[in-house]
Amino acid sequence: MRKLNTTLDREPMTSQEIRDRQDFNYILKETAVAKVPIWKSIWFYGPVGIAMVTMVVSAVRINPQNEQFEDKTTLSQFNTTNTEDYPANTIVVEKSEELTETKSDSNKENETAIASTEQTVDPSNTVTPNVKADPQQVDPAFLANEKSNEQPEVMPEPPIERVVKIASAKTMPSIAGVFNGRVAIGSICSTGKIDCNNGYEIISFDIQYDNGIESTVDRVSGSQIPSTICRKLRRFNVGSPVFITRIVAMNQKGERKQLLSMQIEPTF
Amino acid sequence: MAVNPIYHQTKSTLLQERDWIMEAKKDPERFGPLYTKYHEQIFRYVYQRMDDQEQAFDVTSQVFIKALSNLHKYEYRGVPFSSWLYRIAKSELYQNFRDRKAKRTVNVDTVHLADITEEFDDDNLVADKNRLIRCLAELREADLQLIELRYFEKRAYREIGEILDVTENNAKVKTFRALERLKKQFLK
Repeated sequence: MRKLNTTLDREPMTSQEIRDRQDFNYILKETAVAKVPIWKSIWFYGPVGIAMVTMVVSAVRINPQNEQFEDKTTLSQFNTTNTEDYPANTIVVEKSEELTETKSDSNKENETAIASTEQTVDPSNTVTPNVKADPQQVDPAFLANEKSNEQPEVMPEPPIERVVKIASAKTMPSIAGVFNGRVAIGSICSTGKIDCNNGYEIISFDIQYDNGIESTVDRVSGSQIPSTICRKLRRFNVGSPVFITRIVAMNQKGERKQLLSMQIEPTF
Repeated sequence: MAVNPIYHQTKSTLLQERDWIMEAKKDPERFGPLYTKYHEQIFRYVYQRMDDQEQAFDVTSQVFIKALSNLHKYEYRGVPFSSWLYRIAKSELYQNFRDRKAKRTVNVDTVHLADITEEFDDDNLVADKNRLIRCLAELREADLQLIELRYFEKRAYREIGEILDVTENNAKVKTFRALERLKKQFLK
């Protein structure tokens, strides 16, 4: 049986009794209290929601920590970019086409992210930075001008293995004994060589510097910083950081390593 | 059988009601005439299903508060405003039963019980009041509601249809079937 109360012949209420209990003011008062607060209404969430999203997006974009994050993102791209195979007896010149993003934390390894295309030129040519990646886009006058600044030939470089080991902390590159910090421009340009310990020799590296127009990245074969780059370092980069990245070294056994990136600041 | 006289309204009174609603949507204080008109009806509907008078007044007040709060959602469909109020009242009633964990009440007038047995169309049937009440308690909620609306509250089929959101004919058929089931139960 269902739960049900049954009342038999209950005393009926008169209409007057019911009318006496009418209280419209109470209904009005309670309705005003029971109204949905503004923050619960759907109209509240439209403008306020948009404002909140805008604020959050602005905060995320303005936050300088996120810039570091972006750098790390490009760093990961960099680390996963394998060194390309180079034909024998060639000098490899790379030209960055995108703005290089850098993280200039002196306590940490400096990283450079580049998106580059490659151009293979005749070994008799010198290292020619700032040449457009597409040979068809290279200004012949510019090339001729650069040819006049002859550099010693860079050693032919065999293709680098696609999987490059990250160098251990013991194997460190340096210029004039400096891995990270200020280096006299004279020291850079007199020796112009990136040294390495543990019996390793630098065979290629990327150098990012200001060429007077924009920040550029050049791929250099060998351990020597070309004189053309040296001139630009002297002219445009004194007091500003220069990043040397993707440093690949090889020992006498032919084992290759990718070493930690360097950040140097040329000074007079 | 006498029917609820308040339910029957002329077209002009329905239109007047519509105007009150339109005004009340703009200004809640204009809801007063509707409240005065329907307070007693709704109270009697609620009190019929409850045993406590004060609780019935509270539930009735809640019905009008809900109605006024949601008046902007109400659409006039050519039927009395009370149909909408009854649906709110039904919802509030069951909410009240749930909140208090109380049993639903059926208020039975013995005079009305006789009306039911008359409908059984069996001259040999001896009306046993207590047994009929027991049978009512065993009916399904939907059937009990139909019997209650028709025989205890004396409502027109049209009004029953509007309260239950069915057509007049459907209300009539459903009430007849509910009565048949009650008879079957009674003769068992």
